[in-house]
Amino acid sequence: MNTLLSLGAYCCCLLSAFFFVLKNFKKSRRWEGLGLAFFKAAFAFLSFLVLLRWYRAGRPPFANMYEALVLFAWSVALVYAVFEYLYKAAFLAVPANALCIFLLSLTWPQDAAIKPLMPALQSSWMAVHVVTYFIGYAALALAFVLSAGYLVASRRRPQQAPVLLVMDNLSYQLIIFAFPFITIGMTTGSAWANVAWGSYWFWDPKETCSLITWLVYAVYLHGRLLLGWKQRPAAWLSALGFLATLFTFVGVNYILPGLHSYTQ
Amino acid sequence: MKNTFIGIVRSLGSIKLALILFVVIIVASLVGALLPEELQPKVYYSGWFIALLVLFGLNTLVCTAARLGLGKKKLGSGLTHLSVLVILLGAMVSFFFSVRGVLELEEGRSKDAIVVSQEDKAQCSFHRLGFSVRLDDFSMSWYAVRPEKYDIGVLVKDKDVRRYYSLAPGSRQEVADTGYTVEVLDYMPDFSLTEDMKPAGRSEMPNNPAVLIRIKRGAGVEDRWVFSRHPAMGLSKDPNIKFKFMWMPVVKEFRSTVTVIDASRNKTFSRWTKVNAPFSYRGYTFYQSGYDEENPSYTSLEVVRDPGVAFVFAGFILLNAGLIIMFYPKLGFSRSKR
Repeated sequence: MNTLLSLGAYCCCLLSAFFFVLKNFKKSRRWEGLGLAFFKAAFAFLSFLVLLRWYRAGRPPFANMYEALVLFAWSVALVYAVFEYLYKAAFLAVPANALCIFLLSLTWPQDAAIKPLMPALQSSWMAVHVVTYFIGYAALALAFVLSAGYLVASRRRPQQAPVLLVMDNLSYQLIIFAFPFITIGMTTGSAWANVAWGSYWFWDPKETCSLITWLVYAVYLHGRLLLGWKQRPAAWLSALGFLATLFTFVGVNYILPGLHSYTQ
Repeated sequence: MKNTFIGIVRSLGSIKLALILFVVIIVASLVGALLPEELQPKVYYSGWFIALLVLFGLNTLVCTAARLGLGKKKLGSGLTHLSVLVILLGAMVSFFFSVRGVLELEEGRSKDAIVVSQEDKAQCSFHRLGFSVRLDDFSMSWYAVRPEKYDIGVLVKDKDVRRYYSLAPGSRQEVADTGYTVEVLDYMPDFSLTEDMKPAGRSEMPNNPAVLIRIKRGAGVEDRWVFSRHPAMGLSKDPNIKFKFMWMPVVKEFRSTVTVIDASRNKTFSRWTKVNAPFSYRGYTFYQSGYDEENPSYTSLEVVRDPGVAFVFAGFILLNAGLIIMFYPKLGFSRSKR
């Protein structure tokens, strides 16, 4: 059932991508509508997959790389849905869909078996800590895609081109959406560490890198809100922030051993 | 003099200083994370790093004071910056006033002091609790998960050959250069013997995991039970070949039940703790931290008294509330304009 749902989500994402490509050749809203519909179907498949796995495992399904990648893909689709609702930003479906295809492709070599949780992970803090972090990471990933797109496109177009301004503003909106989520993720993780290990901060590499990521985005927000850093400087900082996010999420597990080594 | 003071205060509250401090803290934290674990405290608990955080706190304090207000815009920002101060204050209280130590107990034994390691972990001292704690029971349970493959170590004495194999059930493995072939026939998570001395599994819980290995050399065949927790146990016809079954079942829970005896307050009561479920008494919190596989009556508890925690958690609540108030009304702005 898990495999079927995962396959269903993957196929919907691929079909969605196909219709988005088709839309570029034949400028019809019908193809775009189909692309969006399939992406929303992929979101439904992913939601069902996460809920079913949660029910079957009897615990939040975020304990290994397979589960983390599925949750990440679900979070990306969720953030797209929120931004589509708030801003009618349908074009965000294209990078969100591409990101979901990439993440779901990474799940294929992973072990999908439901594994039991070690004692340290058996906590109700886990759900809120992980889900808030992943929603935040998903928004930051989309902000990065827009920022990277901005950096590439702004070399050929004037910086005041409307499409570039939209990309810059939407990237900023994604970051202010994400920042409270990663803050809740970090503080609930700290509260959880205090319950599990008796300290709210260990300077464990994963904790330290999550703090560094938070500080990079804090620099972005201070620069943008107080010093008016927009467009290229903001896009570069967004890219740097996402590099820190990526290192915190994946890199640190393999390079710097610590209390979070079970995430390998 | 007055102008100099105002100048210093203005510099302390400048956004440029805030950004410089952000960058310096990021770089210092990164350097610390990349250092070997034993050297990390030399960064994070060093005088210069603490001074950096104090300067960051002063910068935040002056910035917050300069932007005090109750408007929607100022409230979120004010709460967020105030929260950073509260968190830093909590961290300082923790740094200077917390006590952290280890209480190692065996069933039936009690202790009234914890062992506190010094920062460099080379020396330790005792910290008296003012009451004693007795371990009544330590219990462990495991998940009923069967191994996908059996990790077997093989020693062939006459050839002085040591090999390690990960065997799937039913697959045969030749032990190279020895003439032996081994095969895993069966697995019992909870091995026991019946009254007529026949092997029988009591349950699916891995209380006594054992594998049945078929050993062949020439015409000789032997079936031998090998136990993961009792490697020396079991009968062997051929003493020339020995096995080690390496299987660590996944621990589900380990729990210590203790009695707290406080003679000064004439109190005696029982408590239990497991990972993620500490208990507290007289400002000390007891966390289940360790066990000894070789000694099932031993437990290790982390004992902490940290008056800074309340400040830090209050700061966390303020931080999250401040950010939500500050940023979320800005979301959907373009929608409301449509």
